[in-house]
Amino acid sequence: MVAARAVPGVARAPQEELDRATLERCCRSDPVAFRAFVVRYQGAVYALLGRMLGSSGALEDLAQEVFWKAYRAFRGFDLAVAARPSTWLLTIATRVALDELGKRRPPLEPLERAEQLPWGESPERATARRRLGRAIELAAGQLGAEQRAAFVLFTFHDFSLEEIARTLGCPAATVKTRLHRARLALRASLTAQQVEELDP
Amino acid sequence: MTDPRDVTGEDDAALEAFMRRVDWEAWPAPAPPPGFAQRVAAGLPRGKVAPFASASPWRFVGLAAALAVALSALWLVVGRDARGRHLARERAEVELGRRAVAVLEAGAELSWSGARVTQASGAVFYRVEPGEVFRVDTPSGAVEVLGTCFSIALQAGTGAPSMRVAVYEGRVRMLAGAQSLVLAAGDSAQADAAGLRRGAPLVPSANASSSAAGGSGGSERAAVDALDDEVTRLRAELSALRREQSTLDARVEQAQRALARAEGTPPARHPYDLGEDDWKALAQAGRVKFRLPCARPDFTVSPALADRRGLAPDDTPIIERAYAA
Repeated sequence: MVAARAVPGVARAPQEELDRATLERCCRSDPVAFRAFVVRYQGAVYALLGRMLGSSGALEDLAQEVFWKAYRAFRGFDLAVAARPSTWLLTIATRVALDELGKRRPPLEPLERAEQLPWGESPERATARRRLGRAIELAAGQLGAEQRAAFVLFTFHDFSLEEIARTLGCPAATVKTRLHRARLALRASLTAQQVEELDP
Repeated sequence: MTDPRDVTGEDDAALEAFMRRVDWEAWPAPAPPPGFAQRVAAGLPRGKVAPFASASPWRFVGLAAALAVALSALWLVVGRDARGRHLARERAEVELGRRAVAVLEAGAELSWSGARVTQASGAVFYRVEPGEVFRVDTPSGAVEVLGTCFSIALQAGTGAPSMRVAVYEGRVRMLAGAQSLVLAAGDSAQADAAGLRRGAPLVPSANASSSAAGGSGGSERAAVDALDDEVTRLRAELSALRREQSTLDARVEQAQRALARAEGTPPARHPYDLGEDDWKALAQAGRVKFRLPCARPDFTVSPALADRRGLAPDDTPIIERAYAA
């Protein structure tokens, strides 16, 4: 496990996992419990798919596919030895996103929802942040699928290098190289775009 | 395993400094749309689900056996009427015939026969497959649906219990006495002694991921934002459809004129659908063409009729005088 966050700008509370009793009911294909599971993790799945694929119109279909796969796979999910449920689910989501990227090259559209002003943020700051967000999205769109997956999982979803390696089916050393190259590419792209407001 | 920063020593410090300066959270992440969890739940396979398994010859034998059992079960289900009664002592999922599943909270009581359900008490979530009208009667009113997800919560009171309906997918018609309301996905309504009225729109419980929206406050805001986006999107769609309708109307009119010219006959029109030439002819003759519905000598405009037609109270005597003349 990599200590804390390797990207200090992205500090957040860790994902709070669903309680064990509900997870046990999910393992027994209890639809009511599974609905609670969806509600708990839908935000993380959407965030991952959105950053991997852009604001594609098929996002909801893919997110549903992720949860239906999880529902079927829950019977084999061993609570005693398995990873965190969020890690397990986001692994499924990553594979769905990589499959989708393999089929097409999605257009990278700005996410309209990001146009909303965060609470307490000045319009100038919000404008600069939107510009930065678009620049990052554009830069990330130039990364290869596996580099992008590694960067998103590591930066936004608290995955360790080993967890990313298991998700992508490659050695941890490869993940480390991909992450480093992704960072170099992002820096080059953001610098080329001359984004002014970078400070968190 | 160490940090990915250690891969090369070339410009690690500069790269690390850059990574620290960038607010990566500015990269927007979409939030789930309203009703997403309900739509996922509605798409789940019924009953117990087999886990993924590797292919083996025995698997196909098992599949054949399962198919035989399923066909037998199907014959049994098709061959009998779906009816029953259930009083839930704890949360329970009950299949109501072949089209509907109800999740009863503790204390809820149901009886059903075919597509007619009577909910005597408690709170129940329903998922109904599309088909003919499915109706739930309660002591306070009824709900008719064509295929949807919704819930009914009955709250005991001094008289008939109050009834709250929330619709997650599709559309339902809520009936209470002589009143009725059509509710779409995201709507809620309440029926009680005061009558039938709409409630606050549903806001999905999007306390999903702190990483996606920055804590529960952020999730609620994201849910409201998502609803706001949905309204904006639907309004834009509506405007586009209206523009398209105007364009198509104009093209239909043009085509009808062209057809009439080609055939050498005037296009078929309603007698009161007046064109420019008709208006000119009426003006030259000094005539006015009009229709007067309900032209009975005893005709009056009741307050209810005026209300239905969107008339002000002051309009009533004017209309009645016009009819009397």
